Amino acid sequence: MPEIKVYSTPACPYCYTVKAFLDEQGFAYEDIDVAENARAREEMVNKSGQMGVPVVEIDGQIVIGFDKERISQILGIRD
Amino acid sequence: MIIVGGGPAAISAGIYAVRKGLKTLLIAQDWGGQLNWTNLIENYPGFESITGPELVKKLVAHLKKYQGEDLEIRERSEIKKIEAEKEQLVKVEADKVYQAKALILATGRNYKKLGIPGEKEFSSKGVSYCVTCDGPIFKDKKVAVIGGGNAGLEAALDLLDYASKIYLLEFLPQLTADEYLQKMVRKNSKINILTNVAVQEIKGEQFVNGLVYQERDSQKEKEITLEGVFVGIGTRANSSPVKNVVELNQEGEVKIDEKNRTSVRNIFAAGDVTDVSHKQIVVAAGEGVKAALNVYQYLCRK
Repeated sequence: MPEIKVYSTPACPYCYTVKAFLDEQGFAYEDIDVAENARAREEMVNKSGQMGVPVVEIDGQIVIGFDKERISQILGIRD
Repeated sequence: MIIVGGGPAAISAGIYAVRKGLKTLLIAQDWGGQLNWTNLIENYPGFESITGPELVKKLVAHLKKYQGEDLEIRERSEIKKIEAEKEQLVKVEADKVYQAKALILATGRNYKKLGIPGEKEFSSKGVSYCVTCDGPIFKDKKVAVIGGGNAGLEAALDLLDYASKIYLLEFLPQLTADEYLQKMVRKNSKINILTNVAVQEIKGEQFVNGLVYQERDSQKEKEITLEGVFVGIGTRANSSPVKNVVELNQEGEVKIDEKNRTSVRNIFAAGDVTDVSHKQIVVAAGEGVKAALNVYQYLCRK
């Protein structure tokens, strides 16, 4: 299984969408709430070079926003 | 016929069109539109409380139930151009060029941009249009909200949970938001209101670090050191693909009559992209239905 981290905030609609997508596809992930965790917030900004959520990290690869195509491509998910 | 859009108006239109036996192509750049920035919806009948993305998921699943011979769906397709062709055909340029006997435009609305230097460069690098999404990232940081209308004041109030200091900037000499919002904003010492100011530039290096504005009375230029700029100046209709094709009103909304007809006879429009009087999810859904049934009538009579 790939190691997946989702940096998100509680009320962010696209964070919900990206997590629902991973759930649906049966991938486990670590959900990191950057609203609560200041260190994670900094980590997310440094890794992605931007301040928007969600950010998904899959085995070290960074995906910004709910980019379904890119996530599917990295995880080998077919439509 | 072709439906352009991916929100409640387009999806309802699609469901009705296919049930009426119309051969339909739906081109959606993105599913859900403004619903994606909406946290909780508590006024859509049948759903006491549902999040925007959850409702989008249900709407799309409902539409896709009809996907097949009569309904073709093109997702993630940007609309480049729409033209009214001769012989009553409409031409849509997206990933390919499509033609149909009628079209429903249901492209919704998007955030208005300031159009000042730095806005585009620092988008998601300190410039945001969605407090619901990005507010928490600015915990204990200084931010500005641009816009003294309802959208701006609501953004400022939502940011109170996170930001350490909020500058609220309005171009006009006074705020234009509803009185109760103004009261709530005025009584909070974390919010500093600056009226009669013109924002000129968002500055930064990798991320935003400042905002330049001009006091309109004195013509003096000032700069605030901050880390976030939230733009809350409302939304505008996504009518640019038809801007020189159908008649628009002053706000750029597509003018329609009670049968969802635009100024071009085979182009119909529905939902928030139009000049319909209330921009609500349930209204948009209803307008989509009306548009589909009106297209059906139009094609039968032809």
